Amino acid sequence: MEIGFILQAVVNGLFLGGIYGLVAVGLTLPFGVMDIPNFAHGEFVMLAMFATFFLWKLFGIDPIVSIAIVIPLFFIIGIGFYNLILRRLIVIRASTPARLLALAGLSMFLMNFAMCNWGTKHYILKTPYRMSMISLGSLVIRVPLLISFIGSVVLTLLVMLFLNKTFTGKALIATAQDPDSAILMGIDTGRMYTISFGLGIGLAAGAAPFLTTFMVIFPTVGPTLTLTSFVIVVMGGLGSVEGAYIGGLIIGMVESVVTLLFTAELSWVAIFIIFVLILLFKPKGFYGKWVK
Amino acid sequence: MGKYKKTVQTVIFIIVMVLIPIIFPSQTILHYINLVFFFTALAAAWNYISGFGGQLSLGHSAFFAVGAYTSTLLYLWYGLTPWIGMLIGGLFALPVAFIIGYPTFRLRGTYFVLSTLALAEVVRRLLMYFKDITRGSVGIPLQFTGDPRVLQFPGERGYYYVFFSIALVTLLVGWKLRWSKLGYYLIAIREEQNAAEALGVNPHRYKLAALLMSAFFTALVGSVYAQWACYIDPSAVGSIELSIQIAMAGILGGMGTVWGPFAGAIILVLAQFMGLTFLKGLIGGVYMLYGALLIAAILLRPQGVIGFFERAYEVFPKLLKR
Repeated sequence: MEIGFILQAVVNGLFLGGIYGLVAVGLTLPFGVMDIPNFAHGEFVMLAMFATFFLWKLFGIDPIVSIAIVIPLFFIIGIGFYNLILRRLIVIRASTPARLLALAGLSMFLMNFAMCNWGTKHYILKTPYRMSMISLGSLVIRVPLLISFIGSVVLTLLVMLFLNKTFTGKALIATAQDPDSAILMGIDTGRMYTISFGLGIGLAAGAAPFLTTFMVIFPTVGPTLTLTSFVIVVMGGLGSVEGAYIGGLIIGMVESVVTLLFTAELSWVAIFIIFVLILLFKPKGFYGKWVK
Repeated sequence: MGKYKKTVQTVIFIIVMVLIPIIFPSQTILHYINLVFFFTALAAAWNYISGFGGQLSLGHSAFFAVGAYTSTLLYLWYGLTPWIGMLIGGLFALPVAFIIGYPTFRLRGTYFVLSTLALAEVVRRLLMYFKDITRGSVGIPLQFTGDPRVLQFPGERGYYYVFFSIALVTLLVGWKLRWSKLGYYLIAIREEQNAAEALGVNPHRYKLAALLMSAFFTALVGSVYAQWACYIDPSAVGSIELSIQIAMAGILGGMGTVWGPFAGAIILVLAQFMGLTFLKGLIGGVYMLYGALLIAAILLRPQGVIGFFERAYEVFPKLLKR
């Protein structure tokens, strides 16, 4: 195999990994703050992809523009689901397995809700730049992937700015590090839980418009995204934003290179092997400073 | 009388259970009863690690698939009867369980549940990948012979006795486990791991033991399923939907209770029956119903429904005496 092909796969994987990273950042935030992994994360990405699709289909809004609509929309939807389900789980002191199962139930519900509404068809959002490419010597860069990569960097930097520079962001980190002390410092941890969940769903939705520019849209796209994001989050360290983003880049490249050298089925096996190795040798992940 | 009460009860119970398929000859009714025992056995096995051990698994379809494929392939290649093949399938599930149990049980928190999800997906993809062996997504159809020697029966009645036995065995193993040393260790670890460790209980070892037991019995049920359905493919025996249904039956009945899996399986199969009857033709309708049921059950009754059954069992004889 020529080295050029591998380089091409690495670049594609890096760009795709940016979006994985963004999805994983949305997962790691509420995970770090509340210690609850959101199994329905991928389903929210899927719903946001459909929202983007229908915004384009009905109103002709370009997916990149519709980011400004879907992020606030899904932030509110996320808060709605938090109040509907998660808050009650905390109130009734449901055991951890029960909480996880409730979220798995939510994932099942949302995925099949989408299936009932939109069937098993694949939807394609045809933007004018969907097939455009830029050639750099022997490297070919697909424009939608490049846009997605840039978008993922911008959104992740915004999240980090929010966490490190604003009061609410700092309060979120404090809640993640030690909820009891956070309460003593006068932080309303209940509010922080709500915000972190809404923000996580909002970020999931933020990745969706980018995904629609180069992927097909279908109701069962969620579980793979959720699983990949979990591996990334564990790799980066629970609750670590930069860890999640860098983990996303690595997983994206691994997936792309293994798919090129073997097949797509084995790329997931490779990711799983990485996952088990991390659990064995570096269970806190590479940036795991919030771990209790 | 008091001395023999237990024996008499057991004998009556066994006679009633043996007579059921003769009283209800309808294949449809028997099919649903078989489904109940099928999910009872799966949920009871799941309960060893997730209920008593408190380690939620959302990937039991991995062990199920290993059992189903092992016994089926051994039968097709070497003509080995699935009666023995299912035990080998159960043994093959042990290293698969070990792969995730060993690294994750040293850690706390949600690592185990994440790795079970990932493992199920790996098993499914590997079954798709090794097309030469497993025929990939085409699946393996089994010739229906109706020969009891290869674990096939002409009607649902024969399967009824098999599923009933395996459900009973998994429940009794769960009952034995609950009141055994291992069971007490597991519950101690689940409730307060620090205290258990301080008293010299090794959490890693006992969780692993429970997981291996759980995987073994799940694989057994997988083997029986393959001979029942006469067709297996990666998305039927390795799907996340199956894993969630197993967990659902477990939690609906009551996690960590001995007889809960049976109650949970009844509710699950009833929901499936209702869904298939009323949501006919709606793609994903049944699973949407499942999702809603799961959320509602946990929000309204996180401890499961077995408490109702137990109360009825205690109250009913008293009412009769009045």
